[in-house]
Amino acid sequence: MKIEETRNEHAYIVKITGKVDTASYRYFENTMLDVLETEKNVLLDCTDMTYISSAGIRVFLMVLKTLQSKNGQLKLCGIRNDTKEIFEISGVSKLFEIYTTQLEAYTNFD
Amino acid sequence: MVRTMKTKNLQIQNKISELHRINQVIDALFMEWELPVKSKFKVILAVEEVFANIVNYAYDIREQPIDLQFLFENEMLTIRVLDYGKPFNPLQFDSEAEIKKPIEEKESGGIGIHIIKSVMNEINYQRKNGRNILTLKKTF
Repeated sequence: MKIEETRNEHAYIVKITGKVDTASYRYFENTMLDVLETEKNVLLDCTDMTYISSAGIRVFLMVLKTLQSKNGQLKLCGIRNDTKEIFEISGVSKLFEIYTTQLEAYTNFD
Repeated sequence: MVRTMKTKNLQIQNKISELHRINQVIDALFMEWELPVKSKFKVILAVEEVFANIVNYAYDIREQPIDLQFLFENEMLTIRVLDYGKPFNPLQFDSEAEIKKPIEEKESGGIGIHIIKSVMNEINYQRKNGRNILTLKKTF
């Protein structure tokens, strides 16, 4: 798994590449804990995220909960069909705002 | 009619780092046994969730083996996972209730069990000779 962070005028963008599984989720979790200390508007770019299991989904839920508690916003973009199916199976897909592209997600930040 | 049965056994330790080895074996099985590629991520996902539950909850600190047995016969893939940990029957876990809980109360173990139930056709649990035996079946 690789994580790339970018800030622009709309949001703090975290781009995930590869697999977020039981073996790799801690790195993702630690990155997000750092990001959450300072950021309120976060976009998780999942275009190149090839796989996720419940360990990774738990981190997505943690990010959502933390941002909601400080009136921030979380948006997701580019989720591939098979990984989206895992969110659906997990019963959590409706909790997230999911967009096709980064650009589409930006225009929906308040 | 020629009926063929294919089997593969793998023993791993209860360490998260073993996940890569499990995934490599499943990858290789799908190729060698010519199983439908579109179902591969579901099998990998279910086995990871079972493995993660055992590593996270079944054992205390000690290193212990976990046995994985794969069997393919009559278009059905059967995966048996055997561990010596504390008795734990995931079938008794109410994963539907877990999924409906508000976010702050959701636990990843609960989501994992819900995933296993959703992607497999059949799950069976037995406690026998001090072992948990979880059998997952997937038809293609």
